[in-house]
Amino acid sequence: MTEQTAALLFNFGVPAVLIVAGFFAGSWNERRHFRRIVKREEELRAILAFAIRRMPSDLALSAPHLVTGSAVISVDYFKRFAAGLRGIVGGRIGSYESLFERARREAMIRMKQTAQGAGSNIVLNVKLDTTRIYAGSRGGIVSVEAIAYGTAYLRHDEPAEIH
Amino acid sequence: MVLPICVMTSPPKFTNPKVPEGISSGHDHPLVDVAKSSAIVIALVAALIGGSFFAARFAAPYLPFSWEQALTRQVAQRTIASEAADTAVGTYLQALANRIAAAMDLPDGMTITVHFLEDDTVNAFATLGGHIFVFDGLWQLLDSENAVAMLLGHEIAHIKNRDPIRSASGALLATLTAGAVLGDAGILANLAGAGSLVTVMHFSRAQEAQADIDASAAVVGLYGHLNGATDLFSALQTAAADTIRPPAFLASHPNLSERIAELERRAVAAGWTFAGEKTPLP
Amino acid sequence: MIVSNMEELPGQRVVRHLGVVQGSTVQAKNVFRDIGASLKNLIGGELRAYTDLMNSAREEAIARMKQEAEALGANAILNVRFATSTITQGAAELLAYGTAVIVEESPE
Repeated sequence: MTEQTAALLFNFGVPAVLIVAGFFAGSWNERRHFRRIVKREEELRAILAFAIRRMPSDLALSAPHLVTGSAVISVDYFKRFAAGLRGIVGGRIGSYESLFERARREAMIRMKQTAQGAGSNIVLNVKLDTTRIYAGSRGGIVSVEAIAYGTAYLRHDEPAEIH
Repeated sequence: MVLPICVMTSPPKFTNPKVPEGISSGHDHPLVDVAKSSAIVIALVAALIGGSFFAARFAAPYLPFSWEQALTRQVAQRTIASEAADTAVGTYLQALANRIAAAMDLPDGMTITVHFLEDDTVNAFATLGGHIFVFDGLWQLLDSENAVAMLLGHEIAHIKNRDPIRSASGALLATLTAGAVLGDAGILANLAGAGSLVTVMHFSRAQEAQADIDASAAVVGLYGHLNGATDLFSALQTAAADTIRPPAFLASHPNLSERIAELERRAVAAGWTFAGEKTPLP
Repeated sequence: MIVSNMEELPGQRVVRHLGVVQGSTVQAKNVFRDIGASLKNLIGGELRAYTDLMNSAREEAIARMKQEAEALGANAILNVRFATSTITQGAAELLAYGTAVIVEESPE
């Protein structure tokens, strides 16, 4: 009986503690990350990005070069628990949607930072992609990588305006 | 009329306005989402376990009785070995049980084995494989053969109605399902269902009522009347007043007075009489 | 809202480019669909339940992308692309993105 109680405690207590800890630490982390994302997006408003493939004839562009930015964001224990439940009942996994959004926006920011560092002010033909990175076997830590890439140019005709 | 001349500066053709937050994420609060999906999961698991429990109870009577016997053969042999040497009471109870079983028209192959245990516990029960256990504590309370016949008839009726196998398979399949669905959490279910296989079974109120009626019919068939049969219940009620050691029988057979009343109603409906000579115990 | 994976629209002229807009959703399949799919895996063929699931998720992603574009005052999204990524077994992310633009009738 005591052995069984210990087994029960171990089987349910440990994950329960991890889920609660994951919820508080994870949400705190996420809120902080979103604040930092919004702040840096504001700072990089002068760097424009478009997903158009052809170079517009009405822009005076020079110095093209490929810029990339990527970010790997890990899931927390609570998100995994929430997603596990969703895996049984189906539907949208809200806890992972924010994960992808963070990864992608972070990747875009880093791409723009790279462009800015190279003296560019506009990125064309922006492409986005996401991959999962799986550490360990089944039940291992899941994280997502987002990559943003495009061709950065220096635009001569008019200064980039912030709207 | 003079039109105002305004200098239109065309807006820049390439801009990146700010995209609002919360379009691709942040719709449900995570805790709300978890609450919703866990409610669905819990309902699903409960439906699965409950479904397997009732399916097993429904299907169990179709299992051949010989499977029950095979299942309990080893347990029975061990119990018999630990019993006190075949007492006169044990022999008498077995002979009486055989008479009642004959009156109850049991299906082919169904055998009744009575075990008399010299123990003060006020209890008797039927279990898998046609085994009936009667404790000395309950035996001491009964003063006529009619009451003993009512007791044995009640337990034989359980066996005839396949109540033990229904309870056992319901509990077993529910435990197995819980184990399969919940994995480690199945330990919980195991704790709850442990030991319910061969020991005291809990039968439903409907099962108990049916056993009472079947037993009464058998008693009437054997003795022509029900006098003394309800002594079983009144003896138990008297014993129940003993607060220090209430009969264990009552734990699995509650609502005694309700059952006496129900039995009397059925007796009137079936034309059974309560008048007659009690048969003394040998 | 015009959604197109072309660079240009016939008879239309882009008057403003408003940047990259995106919509995404993470979709889980449920255990019942899994059971159906594992049966189908024995005999092969289309997993209709999964096709429907992915399609509805993609539509959701497009709807969210349009929502972003509307918020920017765009009336078309050009050069739209899709990307799909599995995050765990049984869950996939659907992403749609493109360039939000304002187009108007071109006289030519």
